[in-house]
Amino acid sequence: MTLANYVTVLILVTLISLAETGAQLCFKTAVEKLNMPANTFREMLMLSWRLLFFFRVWVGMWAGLAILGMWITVLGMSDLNFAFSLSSIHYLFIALSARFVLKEKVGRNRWLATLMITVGIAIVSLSGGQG
Amino acid sequence: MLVVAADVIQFIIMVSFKKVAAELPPVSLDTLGVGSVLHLAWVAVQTKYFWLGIAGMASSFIIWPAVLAALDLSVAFPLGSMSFVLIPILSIVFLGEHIGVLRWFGILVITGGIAWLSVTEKQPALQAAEAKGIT
Repeated sequence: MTLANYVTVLILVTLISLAETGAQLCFKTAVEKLNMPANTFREMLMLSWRLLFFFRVWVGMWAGLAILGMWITVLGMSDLNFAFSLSSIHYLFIALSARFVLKEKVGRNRWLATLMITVGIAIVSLSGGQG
Repeated sequence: MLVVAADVIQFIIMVSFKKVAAELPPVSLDTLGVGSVLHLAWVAVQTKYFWLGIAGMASSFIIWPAVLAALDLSVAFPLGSMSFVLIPILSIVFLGEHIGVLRWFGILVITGGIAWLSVTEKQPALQAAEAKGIT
């Protein structure tokens, strides 16, 4: 991989992570706005149906398609293990956005656990060559 | 339980679309146009794995909002990383794959993070969800 390729992959993976975070925020805020129970299968179906009437949910779904397109591009430029290890950073983006956008209480334990998971995924992804 | 179901469905979606991609004819970026994309799409919809992937996405759209209704996003999303632990274990059990030392170490770190999150984040929503048997 050339330096230009590395930079492009880095930018694309960052965009993928941001788009994933944005999509999750769209879903979470819509679910919170509906504030419906989802304990039975029937209630889960109702919740999903009502979500379809939210513009932001459609934005989230289109973001999902854009993510798919960007992943195909990234995988054509670098190997899966490298790209996947970089993408583990979106767990940190999710924690940051949950803290500052959704105003969730992200305490020290949650930060450390998220960091551990991010590092763990990076290790698992980079160890891909070992089988 | 729902988080694990969401993980398994995510795995099914990934494997299905990977199988679809394997059945598609080779593509060159130079000759890629509207016609060739439509042809690829037509070939894709004729494979059974495409519809399995679509069914997985539909199931995911039912399960994930239920998870989000019960848990904070900053808890639900990291818990979704269980797939990184489940898939290697399933690969050993069902496919007889070999897992290297470094990968085992990574799996251990992820499991530690998930365990830490589960033990320290006994938030009201999580407790309520557990009481209802959602998680």
